[in-house]
Amino acid sequence: MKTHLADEQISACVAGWANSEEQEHLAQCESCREQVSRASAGIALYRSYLRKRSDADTRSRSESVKLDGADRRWTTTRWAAAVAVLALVASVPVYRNLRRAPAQPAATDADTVLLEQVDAQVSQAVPDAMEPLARLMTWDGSAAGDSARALTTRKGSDEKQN
Amino acid sequence: MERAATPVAVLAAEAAMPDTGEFEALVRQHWPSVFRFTLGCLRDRDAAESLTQDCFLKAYQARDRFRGECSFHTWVMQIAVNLVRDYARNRRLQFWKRTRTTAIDVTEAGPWLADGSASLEQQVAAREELEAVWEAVAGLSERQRTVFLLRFVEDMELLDIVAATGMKEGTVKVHLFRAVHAIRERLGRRK
Repeated sequence: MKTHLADEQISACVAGWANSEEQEHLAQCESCREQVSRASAGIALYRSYLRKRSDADTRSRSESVKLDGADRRWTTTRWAAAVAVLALVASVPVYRNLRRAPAQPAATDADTVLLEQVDAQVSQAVPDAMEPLARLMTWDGSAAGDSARALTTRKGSDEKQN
Repeated sequence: MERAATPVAVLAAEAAMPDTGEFEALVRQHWPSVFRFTLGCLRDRDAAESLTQDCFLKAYQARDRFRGECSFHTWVMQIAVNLVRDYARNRRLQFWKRTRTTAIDVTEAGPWLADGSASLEQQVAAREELEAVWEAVAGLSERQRTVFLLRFVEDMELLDIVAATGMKEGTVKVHLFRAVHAIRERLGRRK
């Protein structure tokens, strides 16, 4: 048998890139085979650990993404519930006011009477202070006749007294 | 070395570039691989996740430039390799930010190595061996580690590693052999 494999050749065997000559030597040399298998075992351990570890991290990542999604949905639900409760609470006074609404007609009647009085005053031809004068100056003359008659009656009674 | 056309390569080539729906499917398919590679390079979970997101964002933005000359996996790994390189460069400049809170502690690897049939002694031996390889990989140069991870963790073929790293074939081999040598040395010291 030739001399043992060189360091690079052992590495090539570990990497799986050994040529036919190196493979042939390996098949015959227990010492070189032992070196290759020892390095391969250590690397396989490393590979296995890294794969399991990263797979676990990847799984936990995707689970946390799912949980994040669920959390977001739950948060949205909670907000919706809070808004609904607030809306309900806010609607209670409105509802109570609506129930009190029938008590209002009395106030409404008083308002109507007041408005009618205002309308009547506004629609007057002359202000209250000038009302007697306006009675004297009516166009149909009846009022004026009455006034004249009242004036004449008062003149006659004055003359009688004199 | 022959490069087998993966289903993803066929899909990507047929689609010239996937639309959003197909791209989502590709992200789901290749996320674990990119994340594993960045985690192996950086040994920090948050940084690896952030870089993986950046990687797929860049891939999406550059999807028009993907011509299907290599598999989608190789193409996306090429982006990941560049991002890791840039990240390492920035970390070197920002040396005061080296405190890592989400760094992987390999001494807590027990649950991942648990083997019901192994004795306690075997479990301890396995953990020590893993720690030795972990430290050896951490001590590799950035290029050595990249090539090592692409070959031994991602099972990429030589020409795919050449495409993903932009190195020459001989350079890839040299880096890989040195990486294996460093690991053998570390394991030998334990013996």
